Amino acid sequence: MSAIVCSAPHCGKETISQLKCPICLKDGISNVFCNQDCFRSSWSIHKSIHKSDDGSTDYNPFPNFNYTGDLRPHYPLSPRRSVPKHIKLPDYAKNGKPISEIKQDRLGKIPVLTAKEIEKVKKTCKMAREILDITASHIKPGITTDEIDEILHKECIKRNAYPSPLNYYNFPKSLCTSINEVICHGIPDKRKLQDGDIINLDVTIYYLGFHADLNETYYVGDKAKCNPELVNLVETTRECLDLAIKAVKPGLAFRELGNIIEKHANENNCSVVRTYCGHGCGVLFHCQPNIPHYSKNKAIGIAKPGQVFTIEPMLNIGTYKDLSWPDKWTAVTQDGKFSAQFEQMLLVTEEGVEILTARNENSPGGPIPRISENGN
Amino acid sequence: MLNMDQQEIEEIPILVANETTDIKTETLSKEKFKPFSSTPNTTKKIPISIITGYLGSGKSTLLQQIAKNSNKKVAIILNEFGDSAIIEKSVTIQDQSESVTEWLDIGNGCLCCTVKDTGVSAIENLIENSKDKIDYILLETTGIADPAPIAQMFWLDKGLASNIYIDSVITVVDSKNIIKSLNDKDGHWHGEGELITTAHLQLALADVVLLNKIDQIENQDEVSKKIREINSTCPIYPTKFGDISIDKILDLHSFDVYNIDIAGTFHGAISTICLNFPFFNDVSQFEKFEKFLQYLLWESDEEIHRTKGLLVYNDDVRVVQGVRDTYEIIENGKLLDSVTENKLVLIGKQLDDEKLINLLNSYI
Repeated sequence: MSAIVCSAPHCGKETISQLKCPICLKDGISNVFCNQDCFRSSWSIHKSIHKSDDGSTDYNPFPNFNYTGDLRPHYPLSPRRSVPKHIKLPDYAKNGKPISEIKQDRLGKIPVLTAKEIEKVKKTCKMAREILDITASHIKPGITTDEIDEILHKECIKRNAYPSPLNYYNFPKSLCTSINEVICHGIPDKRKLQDGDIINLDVTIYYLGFHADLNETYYVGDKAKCNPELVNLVETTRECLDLAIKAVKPGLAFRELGNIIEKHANENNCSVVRTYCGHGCGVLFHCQPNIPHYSKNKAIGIAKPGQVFTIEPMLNIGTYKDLSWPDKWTAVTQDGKFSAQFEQMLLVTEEGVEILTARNENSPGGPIPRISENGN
Repeated sequence: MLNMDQQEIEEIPILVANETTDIKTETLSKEKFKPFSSTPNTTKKIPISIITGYLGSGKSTLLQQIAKNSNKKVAIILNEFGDSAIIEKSVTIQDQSESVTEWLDIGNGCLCCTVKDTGVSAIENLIENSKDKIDYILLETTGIADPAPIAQMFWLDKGLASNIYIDSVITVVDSKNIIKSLNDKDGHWHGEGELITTAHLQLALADVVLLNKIDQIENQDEVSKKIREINSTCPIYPTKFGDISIDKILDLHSFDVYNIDIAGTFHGAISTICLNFPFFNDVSQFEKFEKFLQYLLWESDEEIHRTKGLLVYNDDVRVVQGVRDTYEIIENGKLLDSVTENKLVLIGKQLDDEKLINLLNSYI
């Protein structure tokens, strides 16, 4: 009999233990833990896949939390999706700790890729775009974010790619789904998409030894496309990313990008989120350089050919300030007003920049014209 | 350690080998969730000073003295930041009469694409939740710490609208042992070739140096001279048992103004040089200067630990501040009467002032 892996997301060791979670067993799911210690220390994460005490299969796990907007988590989460053995795992997949990133930390050098590495990272990025497009094509009122997660997960596995968010610092799912007032890092759950929502799908995959990271915000149904304030937010965010990308070329100081983004955001009455920034990406999920999206930042470094990084501005209708849900992941706006984000992964070339995760002709989503407030 | 009202009690099941209808449970107590935001709401900004120096130099005595003699409510954070492995950190909030220890909430320890170290966010949250209980923060590093990464971490962008700001780095040295520490090949030796110890780095970053245990040496001139050769920008105060007037070491604003006197240019392993060049006669020279600085700090082979400068074009006065590769040019600076030229002060490894002024001139 082959050994089973402990179900505690921070353990990840193989175990010969026979001990299982009794609540999961009642639902016919076998979740094995090394011992009660592993179970106890993972309880706060593990219990999210259980029904509520009264047996409900759609409940709010944090009823006492003062939510800033209308969105609520819809638990239980689905059990962790499995990854077949033949798929190459990033170092954190087993226990959640990206040891190589922690070692490198934020003071590390900005990697410059060789021609061979660039060839690989291009393949990974192209695949990531394909997976995002397939996943996004299922967005419609009524689908749950967990179903979207399942689609993405299967598309990754089909291509022998690992969905990078899965178990990264014990993140429970394979992509981030951020609806309405969620700025980023939303956890896929049983929430059904509604006509009038906006949703961001943030996809990262690990393939050929490289991570490829991109995200887009989509309108759900036609109602969202008729809301002038919402369209202005989404389109301004899209334009901010495009303007920033246009500025990338060898010699650009990374700190300039925040000035470009914040200027365009302010001109269109949107605010720029400070807490989360763009980052180097490649062998590691997150590395140098650090790309803040707000103006007057002290980011270090000048763009050079062969560097790969993301720009991923998050813009809000109201305050730029964020707050985390008790799940310690979901970042929402403090005033509950909506937030949008777009992200591309970029390669600095001799002449300028190449968008490694660029849209195709058939990619779902894409820009729509702004609507003037009086409906013309 | 935790107060009961910060705790939540939960029943969790006991694992079983086979399915059972009789699920036994055990009690688990966990910390209650506190709303966590990386963007604090308080408008008042609290200064933070970093206290560095070798073990036994007298840092702890100094901290106690400050807490005792100051009318400020001081939070003392005893730990080495920058080590992501440490999840729990304690903080002591002390004023003249009492002392309270609290734990910092470090969140889930995830650095994932956030701009701030979790330790910084934790301190911001502490300030946010302390409701005016704190008006100054002293962060004591461990003896072996290079203070630069810690200073960079707390030197937050203005755009982040934090409720804390870095005031200065205070380096405490043991007068009796400092010369030995600076020559200690077996100690905390950094890099190849020329001998550079952690003591060098702690002095290079210093905005003020306390020459402590001064009663234990006969000739303080030799020690002062040695420190001057490394860092000729900072005041040096001889002390014993950390007796120092508070206004000499706190509220110095070392990261937002130019208020230093240079005691000269030196050429040691780590030493200070000052580049003097005429006030700008064209506004475009600010940008050209910035390109030079970016080259110097990011592209060249020079090893620079601390940068301070003053740039003037008519009424436009700008202050340059830098720690290692992080720099900022701050507008609306104040011009001291004594300053008649632009100045760029650099503390780094074997810097050649002639070579650097030529390089600067090629840019501006």
